[in-house]
Amino acid sequence: MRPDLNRSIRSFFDPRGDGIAHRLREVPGETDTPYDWAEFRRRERVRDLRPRHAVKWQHAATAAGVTVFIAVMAMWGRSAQEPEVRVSDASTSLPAQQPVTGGPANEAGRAAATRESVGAVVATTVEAGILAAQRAARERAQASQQWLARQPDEPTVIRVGPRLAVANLEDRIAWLDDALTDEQFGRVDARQVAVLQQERARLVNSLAQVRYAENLAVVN
Amino acid sequence: MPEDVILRARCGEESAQAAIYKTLGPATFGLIRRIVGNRALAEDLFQDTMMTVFERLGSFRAEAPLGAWVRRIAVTKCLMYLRSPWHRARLVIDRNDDEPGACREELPPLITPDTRAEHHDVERGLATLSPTARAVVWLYDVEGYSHEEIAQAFGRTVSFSKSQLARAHARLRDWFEPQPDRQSCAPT
Repeated sequence: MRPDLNRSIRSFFDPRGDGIAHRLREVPGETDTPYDWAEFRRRERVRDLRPRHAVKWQHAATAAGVTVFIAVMAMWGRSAQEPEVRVSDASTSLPAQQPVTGGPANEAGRAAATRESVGAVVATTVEAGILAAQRAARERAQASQQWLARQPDEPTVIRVGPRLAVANLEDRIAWLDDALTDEQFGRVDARQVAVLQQERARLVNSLAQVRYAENLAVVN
Repeated sequence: MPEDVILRARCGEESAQAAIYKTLGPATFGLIRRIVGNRALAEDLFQDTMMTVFERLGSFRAEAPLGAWVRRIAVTKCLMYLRSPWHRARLVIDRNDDEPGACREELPPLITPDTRAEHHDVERGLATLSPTARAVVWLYDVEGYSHEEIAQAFGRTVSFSKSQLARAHARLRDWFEPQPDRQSCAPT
């Protein structure tokens, strides 16, 4: 944002529009504050007594982190069991084909090594899967947002239910925008921003689905 | 704003914070008042903005003047309100209450005893615009935002910003042309 440059460029290229702009800029920009510093501090203390946000970003981030952890653990548990079955299958079928080198102790060692290598592969796969899913979610959210931008400003009120759902989703998206803006003003933590953006993408998709259903209802 | 005042305010010194409030408060409140119109709402957003300013002063890196940084926070707070479903719901209710021929905007223009006569028309013209159109006009013409920045701030397309601005300019142009039978929204 370069107001000084933008203004001079506009006055050069757009003299017609700038007539209004010139008048607007001549209006004094300052207005007496509604109250003095003492009153500001008093109101600040009153506000501090009330919770400013029912849900803070720390809570949202913690909840999202716990959910991701549980999901990864569940996928890990499921993936770790499958190779073990294959190993045991191999151990029952291979001895007939391969020379026996060390008996049951060596076999257990080989199985453990196989499990470790399979575990590493599974961990890498899970991580890649999560990243791919996040990327796909972002792309879906962008597509949804573009579609939403083409919709009329105000949704058609059919029933109170869908209107409330839309209002609720828009409110939550606005809250996330607020939280993201706060993050940008403050110290930027990439992980928190990513969690908030992920949640926002999910809400935008939900909003698109509700608005789409609403459009179908209008057509029918 | 002197750098030592900012440093002292960062450390929580109340006299320095009061100096910042006294210096930047009038311009910030004027900006908020022009964008949202309603005085009670503007007071609420002003309080919110100044609280955010003092909370976040530690992260101010002095890459731009403090006043520009505060204005950016104020604009963000205003736009967050204008995008909120509460504001839209209020507009729907207001629209239902509208009668043919009535003033679109119930808000009084920002005219004080100090306002010069030649500015009355501008203030009244601005008061006839919808809050969204007024915000777009003010951000583009006065604050120097580009259409891309306005579109991003509202979460809409660039054409939304351009069409809002074109319609608002047309309305203001009509308003500035002399019309003896004009019905003013201003309190008399």
